[in-house]
Amino acid sequence: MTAAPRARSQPAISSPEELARAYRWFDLVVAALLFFLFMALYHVITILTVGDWDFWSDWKDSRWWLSFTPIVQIAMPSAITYIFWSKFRLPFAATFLTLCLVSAEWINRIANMHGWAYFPLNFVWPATLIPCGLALDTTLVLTDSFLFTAIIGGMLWAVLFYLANWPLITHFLLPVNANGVLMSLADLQGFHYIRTGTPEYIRIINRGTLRTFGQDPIYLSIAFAGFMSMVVYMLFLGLGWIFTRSQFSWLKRL
Amino acid sequence: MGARFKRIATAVLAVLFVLRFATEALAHGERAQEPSLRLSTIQWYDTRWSTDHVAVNGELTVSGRFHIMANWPLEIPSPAGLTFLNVGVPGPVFIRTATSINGVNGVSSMSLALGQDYEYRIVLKGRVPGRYHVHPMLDVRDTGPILGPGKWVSIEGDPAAFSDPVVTLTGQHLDLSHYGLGAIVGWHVVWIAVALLWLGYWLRKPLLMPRYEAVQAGEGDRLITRADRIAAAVLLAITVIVAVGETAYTNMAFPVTVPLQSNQTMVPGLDLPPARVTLKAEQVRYLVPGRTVQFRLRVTNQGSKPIRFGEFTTANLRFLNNAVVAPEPDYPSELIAPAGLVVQPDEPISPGETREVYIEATSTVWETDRLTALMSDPTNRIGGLFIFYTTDRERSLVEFSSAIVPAFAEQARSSG
Amino acid sequence: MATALNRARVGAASQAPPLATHSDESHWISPTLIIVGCAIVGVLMIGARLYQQAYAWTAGLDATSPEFQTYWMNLLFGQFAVEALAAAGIWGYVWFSRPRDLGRLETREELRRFGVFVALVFCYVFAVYWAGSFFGEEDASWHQTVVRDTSFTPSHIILFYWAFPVYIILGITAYLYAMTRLPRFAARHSLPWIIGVAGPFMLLPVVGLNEWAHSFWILEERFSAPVHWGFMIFAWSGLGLGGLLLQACDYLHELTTGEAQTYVVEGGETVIDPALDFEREAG
Repeated sequence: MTAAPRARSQPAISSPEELARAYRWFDLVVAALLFFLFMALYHVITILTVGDWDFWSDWKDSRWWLSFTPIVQIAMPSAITYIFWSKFRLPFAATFLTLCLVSAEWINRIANMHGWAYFPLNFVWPATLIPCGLALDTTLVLTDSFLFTAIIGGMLWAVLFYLANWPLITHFLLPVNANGVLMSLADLQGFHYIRTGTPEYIRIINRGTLRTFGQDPIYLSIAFAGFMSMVVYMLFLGLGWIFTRSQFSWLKRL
Repeated sequence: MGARFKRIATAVLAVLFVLRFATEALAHGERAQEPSLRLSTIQWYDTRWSTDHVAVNGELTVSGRFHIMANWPLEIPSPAGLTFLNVGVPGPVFIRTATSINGVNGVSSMSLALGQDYEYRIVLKGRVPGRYHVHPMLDVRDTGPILGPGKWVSIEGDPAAFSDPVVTLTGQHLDLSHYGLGAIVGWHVVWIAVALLWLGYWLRKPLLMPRYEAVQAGEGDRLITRADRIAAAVLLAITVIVAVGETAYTNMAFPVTVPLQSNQTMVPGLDLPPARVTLKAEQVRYLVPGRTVQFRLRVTNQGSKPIRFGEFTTANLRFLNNAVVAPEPDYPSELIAPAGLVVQPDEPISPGETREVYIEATSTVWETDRLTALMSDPTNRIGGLFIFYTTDRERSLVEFSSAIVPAFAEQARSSG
Repeated sequence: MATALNRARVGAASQAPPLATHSDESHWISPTLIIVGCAIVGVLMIGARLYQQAYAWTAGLDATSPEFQTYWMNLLFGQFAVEALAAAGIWGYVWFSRPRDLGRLETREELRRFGVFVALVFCYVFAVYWAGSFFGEEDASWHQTVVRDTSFTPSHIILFYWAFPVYIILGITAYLYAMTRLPRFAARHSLPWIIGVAGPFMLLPVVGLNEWAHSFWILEERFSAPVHWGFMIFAWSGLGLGGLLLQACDYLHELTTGEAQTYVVEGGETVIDPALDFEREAG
């Protein structure tokens, strides 16, 4: 086999063992760096899109939260999966991102929402996207295809969001008679735990329309989310592709 | 080393605990709002606080009335859209247990009418020890919060003793302050553990450079082994089974649930007898050096009894005609102008009489509350309520609204 | 075109090397620098958080009060002063102490400097975490809880005017370091790295848009309002660090093995890392 052309007259490392250790050290430093980077990037994106639904239990409804969260949240795992799969064959980006997200959210809820603003943790608990991320990563390994991962993994992403999180909010959907008005426990939390800057009407939740077919739109939300997750996944693979092209982008100094 | 770390950590937590639970919070936020809006939107009156010292779990009731100006500023959305009765406190240091507007449960957002008066009631329960300024407030959609008067209230006691007992319609007794947290944390821990399994599977192998070099060499396909595929299949199966099991278990445990509730309703105003007084502004100006608002008004008594000017209130400030009415003993004194309301002439206005009256409302609070920033406000209007009294203490509230012009030097009162 | 060294290392967990053995090159990214740098950032951020705990509720609710001026506006001006001095000092030091040996750099020294660069990027990312994640969501716990006062609130003073500038200073420091110490980064600008620094930097100007909107028509405290999407675009630019990672892998391969990084492109053709050509320009 033809050897690669020389880049240096002398390499910096002389033995295979030392090289292996150097590469391993690089692995660990980058893994730790990615932990903080993914916490930062994915959390910022989350806060500014689905943050309101994630902060408060009285926003976690069956129309917006169940559909909007998976659709918006699949974008970053898709882009970063492209980078790590195409260049490293590493299928861990979605799981890593969702783990970092939930870690960053818990740190914040405990230190700030609870520690600073006195909200009880059972009111400001975050949703989890970890099972969704696991489904995306494992599907990619099993199919070795972005297209099938988009279709199967994208649908699983939406369904698993419901399966893993609806049981959590169910605890707070028990009915209560609040001075003559029916409320859920989540609504009662929002009423009890005063948010001066957040009146009731500001919530973007299911308030019913003439066309909700007479029942909770949970399954419609999941189906819609599944379809849109597939589309968003494919689109943002393109963004990941763009950033892998940038590997060859070196601009001349002015 | 471990013991020393524990001591340091304990000390830090103790400091945080003290800092967290020994708070003293001041008035807040409303002074930044535009003066013309605070003067001309909602006038709060008859505000009462049931106490100024509350124990943890103790009750505080804030009640009163507010008048929505008929001459609401057209540049901002009105309460005819949607409003919500809220509380101006620094976060959930109190919890809100019940509210109402004209008897309608305040859990709902409400559409209210211009020119109407509403009676409100807010019941709070002490939660976090400290000293707080407690205001009633009304959030108006797309306009923002409009705060009522505030009073200092102290909460004393052990914050750990706080409880929020609730009984559900299915007969469950629970404490809403921490109910369900165990299940939430438990499921999160389960999913975090599964994620760490998957990540650990990959991290235990060489992660980056060897794989990168193989892919660059065109040998990426052999990087995913049969063992990797088996691991992926197992993890996917675990994920789906755990998620389905989680849902099935929860559905069995909670067979009766309701969706998030949101009631939005219209609330008619109080059926108050019409005020038998009309006011017409001849001139209103703000004398900057004296911190005085000067009114020249034409007043007509259309009632059957003589009336006198009792009070002018705007943006939570109260100017009382001391000859007619005294402040409530527990009302926040900083909201009552010491100079009161100067009315000339102050004699009762007879039924059917029309009189030109000169009124002065002087207070440093015009300045400290930033109400005199009218001069940097693109709209210079003043609004408020004039409250008249008969000798029988019958009260008439009359909405007042007018343009206002600043004056930078004392001029003769009869001049323009 | 993989070397014999690389083939033996892929996919076999049992061959993962033990970490107990230390050598200069195996720990070529200095752990000391990472720990010290992150500790400094941590102290700055935790200190700010403790300050908020002590003075936000007691003196931060009313911007017109004298207590606010004392504890918050003075802090704000102090922050500006410290940031200006730190930026001038650190950037000035990195620039004026730059070596002139880029044309005759020994490979081991180049690897050491590359390790310093990676460590600086680590500290930069750590600071971005505190700004974007920790203080970013903390902003919600303030603004959705209290009446919005002015643009300078206890949460904004720390988030926009402390945490953001800290990572901006670190990001530009790392950029200047690479530009002055590493031949290929001296010769050319790495586009993904520019994006990874300039993008998060642009979060600060977007604050102007945010505050303008909030003072005019965004009167409700919803985080999902479209006015906040400007922040999101620049958060996406953090993906530039993905491109930088790939460039770092190429660079590491070349430094440690002495061989050029090559790529098998579509059509089976093998191309050589273009960055190698740039290094000669830096001398």
